[in-house]
Amino acid sequence: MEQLKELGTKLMAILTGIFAAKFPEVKDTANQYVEGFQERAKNLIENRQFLDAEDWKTALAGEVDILKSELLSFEQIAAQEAQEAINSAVDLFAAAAGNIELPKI
Amino acid sequence: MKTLRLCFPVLLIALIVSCKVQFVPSADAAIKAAVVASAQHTDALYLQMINAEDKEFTTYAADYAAVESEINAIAIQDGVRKGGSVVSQQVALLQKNFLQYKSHHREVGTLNSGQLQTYRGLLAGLWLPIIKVESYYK
Repeated sequence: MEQLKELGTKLMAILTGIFAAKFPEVKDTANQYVEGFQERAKNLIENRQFLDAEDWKTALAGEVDILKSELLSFEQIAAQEAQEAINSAVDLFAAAAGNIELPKI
Repeated sequence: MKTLRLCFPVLLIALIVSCKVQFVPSADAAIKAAVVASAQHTDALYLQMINAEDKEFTTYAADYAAVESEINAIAIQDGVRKGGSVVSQQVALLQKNFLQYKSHHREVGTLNSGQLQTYRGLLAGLWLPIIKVESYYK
């Protein structure tokens, strides 16, 4: 659970580092997203005995899509900036999950 | 003049009766309502499967089709919205993931509670940005 908190902090740093300085309204969404991410990750950890590597890969790819969907909600965020955040998050997720290969989008 | 005075109450009643005001929700309000309802149906489907002993795909095939059809309808409604679509990319991501999880269930026949919980969480996470955008959109 400590690792999960650390992961959330790193994720928040990625999102706020890229966007919040320019668009303060992103911070609330980033906070909500990180809370949701931590809840889903906790759920994955609690159910780990029922999940195989393929399930983890699916879950992480889904997580990337959620982040992408959240970022698409902001007209002010340019596609390139969103991609930068998503790529950083993918590296973070993959490292946390033991370097499971995730599709880059 | 006398005829006009006699006719006036009749004309007034006719005018009141013909002026029926009816509340018709705007297209955007209808999409917003459809989004919230469909998000609830998605969650209800996964909760039902998580809590049931029978987790066979065939038992829930019709429910999957119903939710899929609702999501497709939202994509269509958003596409023909006055002033252009608002959530097309977010809905496309939701559709992609919903179909992927449905296909997985169909291929393997039965999913365990852990897999269903995972998919439930991910789909809720994909609905959230759509609901948020619809809430902001007037």
